[in-house]
Amino acid sequence: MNNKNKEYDIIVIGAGPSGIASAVSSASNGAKVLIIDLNSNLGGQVYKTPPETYKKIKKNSSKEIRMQKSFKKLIDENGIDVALKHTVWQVNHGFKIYAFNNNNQNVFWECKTLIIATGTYERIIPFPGWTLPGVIGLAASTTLLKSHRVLPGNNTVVAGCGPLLAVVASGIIKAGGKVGAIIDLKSPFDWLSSIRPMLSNPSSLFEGIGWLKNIIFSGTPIYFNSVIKEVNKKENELEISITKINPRNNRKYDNKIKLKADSLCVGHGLIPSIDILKSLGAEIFFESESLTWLPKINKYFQSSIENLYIVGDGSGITGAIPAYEKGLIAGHAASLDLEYINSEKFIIITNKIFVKLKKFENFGKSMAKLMTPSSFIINSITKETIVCRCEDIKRAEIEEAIKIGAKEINQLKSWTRCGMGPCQGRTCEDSISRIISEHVGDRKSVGMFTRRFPIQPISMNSVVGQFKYEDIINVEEGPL
Amino acid sequence: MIHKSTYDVVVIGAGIMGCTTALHLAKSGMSTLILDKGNICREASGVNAGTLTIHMTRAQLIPYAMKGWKLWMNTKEWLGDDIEVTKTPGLCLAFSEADEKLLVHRSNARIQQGAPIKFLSKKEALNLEPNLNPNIKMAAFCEMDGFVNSYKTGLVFSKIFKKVGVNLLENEKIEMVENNGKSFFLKLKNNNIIEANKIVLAGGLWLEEMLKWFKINIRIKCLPQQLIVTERINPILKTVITIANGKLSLKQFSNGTTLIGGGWPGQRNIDNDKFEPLPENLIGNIQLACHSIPALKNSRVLRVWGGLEAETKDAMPIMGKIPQIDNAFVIGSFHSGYTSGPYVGYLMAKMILGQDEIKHDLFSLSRLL
Repeated sequence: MNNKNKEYDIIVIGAGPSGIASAVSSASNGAKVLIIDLNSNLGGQVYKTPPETYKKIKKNSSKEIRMQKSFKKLIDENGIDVALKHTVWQVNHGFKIYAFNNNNQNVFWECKTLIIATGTYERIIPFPGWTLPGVIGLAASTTLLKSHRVLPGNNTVVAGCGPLLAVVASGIIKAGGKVGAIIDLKSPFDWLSSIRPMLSNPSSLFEGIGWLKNIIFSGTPIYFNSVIKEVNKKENELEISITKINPRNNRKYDNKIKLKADSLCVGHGLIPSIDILKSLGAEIFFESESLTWLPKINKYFQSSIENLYIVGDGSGITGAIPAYEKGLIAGHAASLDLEYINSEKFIIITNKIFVKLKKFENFGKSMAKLMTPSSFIINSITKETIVCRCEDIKRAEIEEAIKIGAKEINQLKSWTRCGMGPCQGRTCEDSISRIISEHVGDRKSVGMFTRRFPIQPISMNSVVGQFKYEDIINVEEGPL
Repeated sequence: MIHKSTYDVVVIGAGIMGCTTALHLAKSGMSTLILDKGNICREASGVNAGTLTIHMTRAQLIPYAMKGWKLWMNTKEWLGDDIEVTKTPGLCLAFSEADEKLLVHRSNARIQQGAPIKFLSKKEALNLEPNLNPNIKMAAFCEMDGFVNSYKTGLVFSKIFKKVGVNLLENEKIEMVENNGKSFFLKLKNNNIIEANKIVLAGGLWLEEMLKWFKINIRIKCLPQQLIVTERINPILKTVITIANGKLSLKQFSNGTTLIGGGWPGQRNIDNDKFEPLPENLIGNIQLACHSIPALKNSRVLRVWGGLEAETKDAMPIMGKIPQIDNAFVIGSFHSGYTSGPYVGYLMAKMILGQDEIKHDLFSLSRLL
């Protein structure tokens, strides 16, 4: 292994707003800090820009570029080491961090304190046709729009729930594309109830108004309280059937609406990415409001494991702006642990940040509520719908295993192979848990898939590197 | 309210040993309960490499492994289900002169115990497995080899338990076991009490704790064995590959994934009793696999996990009666226990039933006291 073996006080995994904030606050107190990210730019998913290698794309001044520049400045000023284009594949207690660099070489670091800032991943609740070409995730389409500057299609239907619906629809329209329709699981009332909390956060209110303006002026039809019934591909066109739902009794009304489009972007909110934390054995709990598993943390974002912090949306979804404040607090707390600041100074600094963070609290909660699909959405998954798309496991096979006696998600994984593919169950975990819990009770007892390293699939070629047989054979013999 | 129920026999620990014992007892008409602190076959019996190889079995245990292998090849008959068993020969490779010596020495020890192993030239081995590294010197060949999708073990036992009437209690932790000379009383965490005429401890790594109920202290070592699975790739392997020093097992399942094992240790996290991989050992193990089958280099590692295997101080199994306590039995710590499991579980049941085949302890617990 190509050992870098450099030791740091603090390592931050993830260079989104929260990761950067924790790196900056701890380094400003004197800690020796490294921040790692797999992307080529600072800023994370929210402030994504085209990679350096995209020479043809002219980089206009955008909010993303402005944010990246200011992050870069903060990182440089505080003498923080940066490892971009590094994919972390394993973290051991202690903490030892293993990653591949841009040339696929193995590198290795150690640190006293680890701060996880790995954000979220997307939730998509399946429906017949969701695996067809042309159907992509809402968050995935923001990557197309921001990093690649391309539209998902000539005529795109945007579906699901949460703020990303508005972000993507407005993004497509602003870029000159056509949005055929918006299919929203929620009602106008759900959106209206998020306005009040927005008032505490004027910049996001203005941003929200901007999205709305784009959508309304384009004349895009919006179907509220609606879900996708099925999608079929006819020649090069997607035929999308939708069903209306009465939110009071969850009864379905087939309004026989069929939409035609060449692409469909669909997503049902975001799920905190707690993989590293969970594989280290930190405590988690099921939070019934957001219907997600969250890490058990204290006020300063420290997990149940000493010197292990989790910040940003990974600690509970509140969005990009409060994420920065969360990161600042964790960075100062980590500095206190390592005695770079004393407790008086710590209290004075963090009290100010807590005041700011409090302002965003309701806003974050209302956004999380908007993006949480209600339980009836599970009915979109018919018996014949594939739920685990890596291993092609249908709902009927899952139900069959439950009938035989599978009571929790890892047993179901063993018996059906669901969640055993390259995504390690990130895509199907939420849906499968919902299906099991319909039979056996609460989501808590259903559990989460055990996370296994490597965090991302890793190339064998990179793992083995250059080696001589004589060197590797020199180990203790197996028993005879 | 305290529930009380009574069984002829209660098996504690629902791994491969406990499950086969319970199955045969129930088939013989005993009212049988099997219980586990977790889910059925979710520890070593459900997460092992599923290898049924003779090339890696301890020489002394070869006769048990061979009988176990035969039972695995014919699960329909006794398990009522096809657990996706693949029968394919095993090749054990030598890449250097030192390897050759080692291979002959280790294979001969197994041949002496009855293993049907023969030696192949480089050419013969390459004919059989064209993707082998052409630098091999020779190979040992065994017709008796293959593998099982071990993660389905719990599924097939759950199904047959329903059919033959074995009661399965999962996620039940036993607080205490009392014994009045006639019956055993198992106190569960929820205060329910189970009464049993006979009791079988089949708790794998957790036998050490269980034996303490009977004031027996032995040390059981934990071997946290690391396993690696790749994404699905084109067919590149027909046989089960091992190497002379015994530190590699490699095979490809019908879905295209390949599985790399070989007993490279990870570590047990004492806090949560979970397995944690050791990257240094991961790399060595993968290097051996890629050296043996170079085409593997083009695939990706998907997951690394581990199973917690149990080992006694002399690395030999335990199977027989618990000394001084009537009607109490213990089974476990078999090296390559998954391969021999169906057979030794069957023997355990025979012993409990007092039937012909065995009357004395096969591997007595007393030697460890």
